[in-house]
Amino acid sequence: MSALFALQGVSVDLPLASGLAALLPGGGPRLNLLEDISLEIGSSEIVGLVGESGSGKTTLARAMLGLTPISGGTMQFQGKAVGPRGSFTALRRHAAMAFQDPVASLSPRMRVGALLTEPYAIHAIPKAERRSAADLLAEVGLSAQLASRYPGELSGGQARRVCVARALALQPALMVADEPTAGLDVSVQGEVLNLMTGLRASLGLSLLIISHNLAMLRHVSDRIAILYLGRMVEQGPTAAVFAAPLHPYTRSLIASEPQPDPRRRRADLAIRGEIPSVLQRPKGCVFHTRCPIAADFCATTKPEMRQLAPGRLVRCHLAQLT
Amino acid sequence: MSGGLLEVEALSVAYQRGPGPAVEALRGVSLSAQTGEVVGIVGESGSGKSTLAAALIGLMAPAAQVTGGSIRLRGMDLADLSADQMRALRGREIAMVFQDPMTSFNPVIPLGQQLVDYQHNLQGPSRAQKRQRAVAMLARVGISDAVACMGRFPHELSGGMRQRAAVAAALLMTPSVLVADEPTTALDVTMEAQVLHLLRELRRDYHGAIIVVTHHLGVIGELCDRVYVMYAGQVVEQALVDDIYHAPRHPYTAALIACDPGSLARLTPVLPTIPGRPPDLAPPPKGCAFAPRCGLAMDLCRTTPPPRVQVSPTQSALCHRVQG
Amino acid sequence: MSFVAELTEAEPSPPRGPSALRALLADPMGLFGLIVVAGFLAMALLAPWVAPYDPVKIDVMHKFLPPTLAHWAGTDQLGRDTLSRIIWGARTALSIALLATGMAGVVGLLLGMVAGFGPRWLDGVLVLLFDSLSSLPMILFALAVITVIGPGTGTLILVVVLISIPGYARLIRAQTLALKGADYILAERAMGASAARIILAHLMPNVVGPLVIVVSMDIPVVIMLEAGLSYLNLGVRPPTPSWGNILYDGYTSLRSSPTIVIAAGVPLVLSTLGFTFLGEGLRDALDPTLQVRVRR
Repeated sequence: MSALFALQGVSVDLPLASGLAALLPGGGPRLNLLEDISLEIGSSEIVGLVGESGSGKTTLARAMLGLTPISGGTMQFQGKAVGPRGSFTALRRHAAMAFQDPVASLSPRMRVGALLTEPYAIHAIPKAERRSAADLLAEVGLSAQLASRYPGELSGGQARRVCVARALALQPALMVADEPTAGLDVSVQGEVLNLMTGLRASLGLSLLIISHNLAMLRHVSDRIAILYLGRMVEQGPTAAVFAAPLHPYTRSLIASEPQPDPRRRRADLAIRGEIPSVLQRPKGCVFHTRCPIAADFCATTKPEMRQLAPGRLVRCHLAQLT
Repeated sequence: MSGGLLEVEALSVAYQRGPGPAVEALRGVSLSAQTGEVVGIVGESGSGKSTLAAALIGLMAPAAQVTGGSIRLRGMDLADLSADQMRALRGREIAMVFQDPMTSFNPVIPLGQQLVDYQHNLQGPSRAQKRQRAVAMLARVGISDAVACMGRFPHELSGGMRQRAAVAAALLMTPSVLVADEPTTALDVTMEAQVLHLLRELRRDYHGAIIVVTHHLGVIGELCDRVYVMYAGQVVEQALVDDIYHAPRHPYTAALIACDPGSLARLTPVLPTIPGRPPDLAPPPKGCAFAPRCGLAMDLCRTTPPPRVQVSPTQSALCHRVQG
Repeated sequence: MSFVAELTEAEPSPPRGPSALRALLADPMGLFGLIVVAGFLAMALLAPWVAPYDPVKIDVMHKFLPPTLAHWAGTDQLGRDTLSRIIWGARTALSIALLATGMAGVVGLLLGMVAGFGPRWLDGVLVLLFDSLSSLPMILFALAVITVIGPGTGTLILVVVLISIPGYARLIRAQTLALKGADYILAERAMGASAARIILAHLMPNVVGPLVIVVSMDIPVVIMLEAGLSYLNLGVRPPTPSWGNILYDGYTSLRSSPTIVIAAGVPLVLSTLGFTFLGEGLRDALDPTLQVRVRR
């Protein structure tokens, strides 16, 4: 069974040189944003991608869609290579992205109706297969009169749904949602999430949900992957990872989430120190500066990704299945 | 509860936005805060919580008008103060920590100098002493290299450090009331945990009241003693934090808690929501503002404003369906 | 503070577009500019019907007449009606200014977008080109070109176009660079939109705004440039009426008839003021951050 989307050893560097220095062999100094990322997304699967600032989660999403070039590793979509060695055409047709700021991701001087039907024009879809803007709006629970509005005239929630509607126009196989609940009130977060996860049942859609909202991902995702400073530190089925996190960072992250129940108030801090800047990434294991169980060699030797159980991957020298 | 440190009584604030009826952002809001307690104000978009925070520190938008009620600090009505008196009050008595740590500080002045400037209200200490206080406060809020930090510019610090520096700046003014408006919303989870931990520790030594305004139930749960729940410009429920979570009486409070994924005990792939939207407040609805979205609504709810029912000495709810 | 966001969350903001025009009309300076510019445009378009006499008709018998009912602005040294020459001069001034800035604007727009959005090497080459062109001082460059090609309307337009392109292109390039990383551009790329579609349908409408303002502020500059060069007999060739020519004629015959100089100077000043006010009014009207103030 081949995965819908497979990343193998992907790394992304940001070139820092400009002008003449960029002509140097190797392209001059580079800033590493992601290293050795391997991830598979199956059909009709919902994968959660968790990370804080500097984790590279947005970079990863953009690299997957070809918006940022990758510097190493391979990517495959529906079995065919994409990336520097392949084209992104098939990917762009069958995968869609919903950006973090929904209003900003809609071209400000185009009306909603034109934006919704633009994918059909871009991919030259025959008229018979196109759906009207009104239909697309109805699918996400919005009224047809929004079609004549400009993006600046929509509320955040409406804009988010318009973005989902546009993403659905081409009936994609994969949707990448970057922070779909950011800025949304708790009482309406469910609307957008339920809309997207419901598509798994109706369309067989796979979802990659990027979020820092662990509590939400726990309920909604099948598998979860955790990033820290550009490295994948843990991956596995959501329930198993939450029940028994293997990586110290995952454990700290779960323990740090503020609890609404005052009886489960924390007495102490789960994690100390600041997140290091990507410009000064720690050597060895990137987490060792804040790790409660770090040993001496953690500062010098980079850990490899190990499979401790079927589907459970962790990048840590000391992690063990209990 | 009278004689408290901060007493807001039946405060009403309206914004005039063009022709037509004004937006009544706050409608008869009452709350109090005593020395030594942490009070939480929780609400979603349109609840009026940020207007309330702005009103407390007297920094509301020019278009906002107080149409009723009062804010009293130690019995003194803030509306009676002149602009100069209010300015003197700000900082010395009421200080604020804002949501966005990036814009809390002037980007072109070193942090140390700003922290010293923040103490301008204090008559006693010399400039050198103020520097020392600033360094001590930075260390107190958990910034490791406090002396070096004094010479840095705000953009050289991480978001978590900036927010902690903002807390330090607020505390340097030794206010009686510290208002924190969404203090951790812009921070990562691990940074958020640290700032919450800091605030929890500070209250041990801090002789004043802390008011936390947020939409995040987790922050309320981790930090507050008493909670006011706001909806559509009104306080719909107030209670001790434990009762808010374990024994909410107002349907909105119960629904809000039920929607928070952190409080769902069992795995729920289809997340609960509260259908509908908050009402337009220009003009506000005649009956209960939550009625259109409430599962318990009766006809009475739609026509008549609900009474404030005192369920216990520490808990009350604005609802027709609640028995005292 | 987020209380403003709170207020506007439930209600979307009113549409833009028509309100920009309304804002312009509400601003007294902008309104003045609009009226003056409209007036000159009408004058230029309707010159054959509005001008009382043929501007090049020579009538030496009636030279240097003071303002009379028959000749509202008198006549010049060859007996030509000054008013008619001024009216036709508007046609000259505006057609050159609009044509030159229009062409420069279009070329600058395209080059700027290509430089900003295209590959970096192309950007490097184009920026080098812009820098070279703009390092030449305007008048000297104009004189040099005129020396090589010879004076005339065509030369004038060419000079203006070449001088203006770098400024416009750089402005558009800066706007394009700023918008290149915008979420909606990324979203279009993620959907598979071609570079051409992105540039024409998504970038252009969003970068052209400031250009329109800059171009309208440049029009009075070009009018002055044309007048200046024509005054030096290096611009529009006589007998075609140009405010600059007329000014020169008036200067040489200052002792015989002072009105010619005034008659040429007034439209120059008025048109410059009008276009400048219009440009500033447009800038204020199109600036979303200032709209809050205007809408109160």
